[in-house]
Amino acid sequence: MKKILRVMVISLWFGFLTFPFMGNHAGLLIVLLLAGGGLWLVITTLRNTKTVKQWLERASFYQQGFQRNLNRRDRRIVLGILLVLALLFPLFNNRYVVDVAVMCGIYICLALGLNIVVGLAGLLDLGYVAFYAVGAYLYGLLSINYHTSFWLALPLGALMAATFGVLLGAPTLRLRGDYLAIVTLGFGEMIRIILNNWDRVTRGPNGLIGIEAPSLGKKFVFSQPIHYYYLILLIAIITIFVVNRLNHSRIGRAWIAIREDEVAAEAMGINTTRMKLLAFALGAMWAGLGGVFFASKMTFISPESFTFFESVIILCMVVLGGMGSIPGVILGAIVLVVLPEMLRDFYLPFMQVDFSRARMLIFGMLMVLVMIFRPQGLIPSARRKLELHPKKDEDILEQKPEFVYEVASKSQEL
Amino acid sequence: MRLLETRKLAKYFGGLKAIENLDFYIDEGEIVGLIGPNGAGKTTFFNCVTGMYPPTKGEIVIHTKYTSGPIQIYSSSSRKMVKPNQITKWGLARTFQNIRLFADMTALENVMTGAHCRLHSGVLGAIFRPPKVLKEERDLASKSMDLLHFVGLRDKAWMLAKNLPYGDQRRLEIARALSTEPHLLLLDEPAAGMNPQETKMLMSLIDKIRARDITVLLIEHHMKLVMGISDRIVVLDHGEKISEGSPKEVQKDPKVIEAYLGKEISHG
Amino acid sequence: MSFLEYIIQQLINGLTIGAVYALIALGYTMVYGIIELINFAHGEIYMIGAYIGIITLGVLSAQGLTQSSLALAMGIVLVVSMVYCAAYGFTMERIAYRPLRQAPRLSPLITALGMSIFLQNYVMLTQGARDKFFPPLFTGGINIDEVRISYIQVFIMGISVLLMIALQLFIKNTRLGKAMRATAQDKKMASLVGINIDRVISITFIIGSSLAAVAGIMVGMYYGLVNFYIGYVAGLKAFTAAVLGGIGNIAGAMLGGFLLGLLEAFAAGFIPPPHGAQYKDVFAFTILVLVLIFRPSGLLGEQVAEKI
Ligand SMILES: Nc1ncnc2c1ncn2[C@@H]1O[C@H](COP(=O)(O)OP(=O)(O)OP(=O)(O)O)[C@@H](O)[C@H]1O
Ligand SMILES: [Mg+2]
Repeated sequence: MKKILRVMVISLWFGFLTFPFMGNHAGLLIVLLLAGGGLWLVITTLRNTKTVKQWLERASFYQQGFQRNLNRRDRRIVLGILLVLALLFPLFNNRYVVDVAVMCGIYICLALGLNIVVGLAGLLDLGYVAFYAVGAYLYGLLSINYHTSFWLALPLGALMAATFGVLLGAPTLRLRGDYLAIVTLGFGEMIRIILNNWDRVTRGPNGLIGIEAPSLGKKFVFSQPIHYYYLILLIAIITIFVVNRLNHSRIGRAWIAIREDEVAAEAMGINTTRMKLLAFALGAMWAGLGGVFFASKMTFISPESFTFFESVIILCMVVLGGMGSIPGVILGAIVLVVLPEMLRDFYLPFMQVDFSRARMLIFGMLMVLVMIFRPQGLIPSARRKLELHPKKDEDILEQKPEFVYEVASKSQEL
Repeated sequence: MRLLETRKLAKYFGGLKAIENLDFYIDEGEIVGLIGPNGAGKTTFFNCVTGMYPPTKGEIVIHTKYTSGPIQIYSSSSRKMVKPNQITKWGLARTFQNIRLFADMTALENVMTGAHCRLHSGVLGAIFRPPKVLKEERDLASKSMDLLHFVGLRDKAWMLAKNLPYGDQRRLEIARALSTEPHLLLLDEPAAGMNPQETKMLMSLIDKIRARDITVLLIEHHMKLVMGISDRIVVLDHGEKISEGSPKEVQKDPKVIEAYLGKEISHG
Repeated sequence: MSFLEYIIQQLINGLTIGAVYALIALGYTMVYGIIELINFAHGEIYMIGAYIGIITLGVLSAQGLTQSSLALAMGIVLVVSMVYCAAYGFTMERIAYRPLRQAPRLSPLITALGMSIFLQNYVMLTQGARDKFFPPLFTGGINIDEVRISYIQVFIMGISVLLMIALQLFIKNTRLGKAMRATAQDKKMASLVGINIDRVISITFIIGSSLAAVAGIMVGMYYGLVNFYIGYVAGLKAFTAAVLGGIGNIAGAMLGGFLLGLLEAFAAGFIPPPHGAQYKDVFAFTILVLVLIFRPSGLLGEQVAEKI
């Protein structure tokens, strides 16, 4: 009874809050909230009944069993299947779908890069898109002015972005986390303002037109989505490989230690300034790489592609997928690229706007909801999962399990 | 060898003199207890010698097996403080009074992280994992397991630090500090929050640590523990050293009794 | 216009806009003082305040109240907007921050950002992306030689100073104010002596948001228009003001606000017009970065070492 009252009060409260902005639609919102609250009540009461509880327990038992039994060889098989699927994907899909997949690829690289900074090192970088812009404009300018090859620009863009990361990080990384967020936000805006106003070089808001597509040899020039698809697939695989290796290394551990407790990390002999700078540089690198690719694919870039909201979207991918979790972040990137495409023609009921305009609204809401109800994201990082199977020593490192048993027996004697 | 020495050390927080005019030393192989009533400045002393707070005045010198000679990590004249990570690398490791573990890492990872400054693999090593790095990581894992075993946490290696019981967290902090391969270990109230049985275990653990050629400086309110285990005791009150000597001598010192007056001396 | 007159004119303009920055900065600083969180969404509350002001004003002028009794109408507008912003601030804290009290520091920062984006787009979608215009209510002003003080400027400075004095009195003298100060100093201790921390935090959000509401209305009237984007820029500037004065320090926020207003007014005289507007924002931001790097504790804040 009390719960029902609560739902009603909350619904009315939100009706009151939104009334000046939505007028009569606020009424509709109240009705919707009431319905939602009612549904929630039904679900929670159902959940507390015995049979459903048993089902849920059984389901989670199976799920845990599945994860526990996914050892190294199985994981390889799963990865292999995924790779084959990814390779065959464009053969069975039309140009539009492949194009969306290419965008997914770009965002996977960007999100994994940001994941190093936010998810691993725990530094909130709100100006990440600036590094993306650096990569894109570097290739754009080089291509237009000097016809530089894409393949040369790719590492150059990564290097340039990493340099910018260090330049931004050096003075600011001493700052506390929340200050860092604001300063990086301002830095992102500053880069955009410069791109917009430095007409002589960047051509201002008009952007750069006529950037060359990548080519292989003299004959083969990238022109179809499928060409770009395989290229970005390769880049994404490299990204995943490298980020994963970094994650499970001395450096990855240092980053996570800094995220968890900077003072303790320093006391354990970690040079926090250096490690944070490294995170900034290595994170920025993937944005630079993504930027070069983006410029070559679009053949046209303008400051509009590099707004603050782009940073927010990438951050949202990391948060939704699960900070620090590589499969999570990949999934987050895919979901947030594909979902808006699928909902393109979907109209939000009481704001009379289509989904694409409400995208940022939903992303903002998503960030709040995920942090509150599922802070570990869609796929929690592996470290949390390790806890599901304690005493399973073979996960000690990804390599040779027998070695660990050796450790175990040795330490028994001690 | 004189591992750590401070001369006329002082640390003020605004008007508050947390440490004043403190001459202190610890020699290799000793176990020294640092005691004093609440707010005496014990933790502040740790923070100064480990580089967390720059002192206001005075001088700090360390000389360990990692340094080729005595090194001044702070002096009034230069007013420059060596960074905490460098001090750890030079062989001073510490635990914290308010446990500061890496909460979302497993116990094993916590210990592995402690060894950071003794390892060498860089970015390229991490990415390509050449045999050298692979060996380094494996040795690290087995060494860390040993350390966990050493403090009695082997069975909990896979638990997240934040889910460990309080006493285990304290011992995990010790394991993590040991993982930095210190020459001098600074323990800040390691027995706080432990039950009598755990405290007993801790005493034997500290003995075992000494057997590993590690010198121990211990802050502790648990009198039975600190008196029973220390070779020498230093007593602080209001930031100043009021007494120093063997446990017996210190216990008899009227100044010490006065400092603790009205405060019950815990006999655990 | 003589040089002296020019200086005085810029002084007045600077103080006017500075008063507004100060009002918003108070919200940042109070929240930060209590829960050590930079409430990114605070700028959005200010923007909502301006919108509620316009909407209420629209209703009132349709009733003819603005013509018959302007003072009463203004009073109603201010009160309605303050109530609404307080409600928004309160709700925001309940939804986005309270559940995360024990979470890692990164979490509330992310919800704050999410909240800010949500509110911005919520207003854009419901009220449209185009500028909304405030009907000019006070026109005219006082001219002393060539220096001009408009009535709006007088209104803005008067109300701001009044509110700041009221806030100081509230914090110094009332029970709640004392509870707030106690909570800011030591949350654990405060709760031990029986202060309801959650309530104090709610009150802090409510007060900060109401001040932002007033600032929103005043800026709307001063410039004559608002859009869904104003919270972002004003938020960044007010935050700069708060940091300049020493974040967590109430007097510092006021000082920082006025100072930033003045700095901007005088800097505007030196930046050539074509890109003036855009670079003006960069200017405030540059100050922010410089303060953070060289004196992170701000002008009035004290340097505190984190207790280890
Ligand atoms: N970062 C700081 N800022 C301001 N004052 C501090 C700070 N750190 C410590 N103090 C003060 O310095 C004094 C000494 O504190 P310290 O923590 O060193 O005492 P302690 O001997 O460790 O006490 P306890 O036995 O309670 O741990 C105390 O009055 C404390 O409030
Ligand atoms: Mg202490």
